[in-house]
Amino acid sequence: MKPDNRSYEYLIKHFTEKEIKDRFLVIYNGAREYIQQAGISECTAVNEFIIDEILLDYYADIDRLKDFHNIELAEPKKVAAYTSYWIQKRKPIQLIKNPDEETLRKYPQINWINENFAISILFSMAFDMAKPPLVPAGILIRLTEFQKSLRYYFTFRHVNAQMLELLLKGIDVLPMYPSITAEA
Amino acid sequence: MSYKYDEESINAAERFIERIKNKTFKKQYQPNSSRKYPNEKASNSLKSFFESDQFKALLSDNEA
Repeated sequence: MKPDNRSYEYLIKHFTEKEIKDRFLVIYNGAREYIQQAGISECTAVNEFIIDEILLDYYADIDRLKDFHNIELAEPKKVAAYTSYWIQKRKPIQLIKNPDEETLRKYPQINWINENFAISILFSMAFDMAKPPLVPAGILIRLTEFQKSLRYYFTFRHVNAQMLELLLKGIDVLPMYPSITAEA
Repeated sequence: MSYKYDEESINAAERFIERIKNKTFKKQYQPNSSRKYPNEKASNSLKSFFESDQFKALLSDNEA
């Protein structure tokens, strides 16, 4: 008889409670910081339950991949790609009231709050943005332009996690920031 | 009435099973460098991005 996998308890066995809790903190706290930094905390909120769902979907995906591809630990670009994918799919940041005129003027991107957050996660979880960039500021503008194109894709095209992972590996051919690693 | 396959098809199916048993086929794994994900660094990285000019630029225009 196959084991009961209708609950997600197996994820705690496979990934450990500490790992899942630590990852939850990255995403949940990151989303709360995002709405603060973007100046939209008055009219938006981070939905904790949707963050739960994002992490369940993410870990269920990675669990299947680890089994098929014989992976011990997923590499950071895979982590970033699959997390970002589920954020743009699940949309954890919700409008809780209509933005006023001033907010709309200050934050014209309010239609794409989740897409912008997914992009922030994609790049910040794959590359160490706390370290100095590897290229001059003039070149970094290209990364912003690319992120805006990606936002269009998130909004109007079909996106999948594998494509995001390949995209990150493509950027790593000539990286603009160091890859994120546990080492110093 | 069961469908009657010809000998060529039956032999091909048997050859396929033999190739599986003989390990002729190998799974293609996606390249992956296993390493522990640094969660705390990710939070620092995200915070730095939110404080950067790039983040301001990402939020700045009205185009999708």
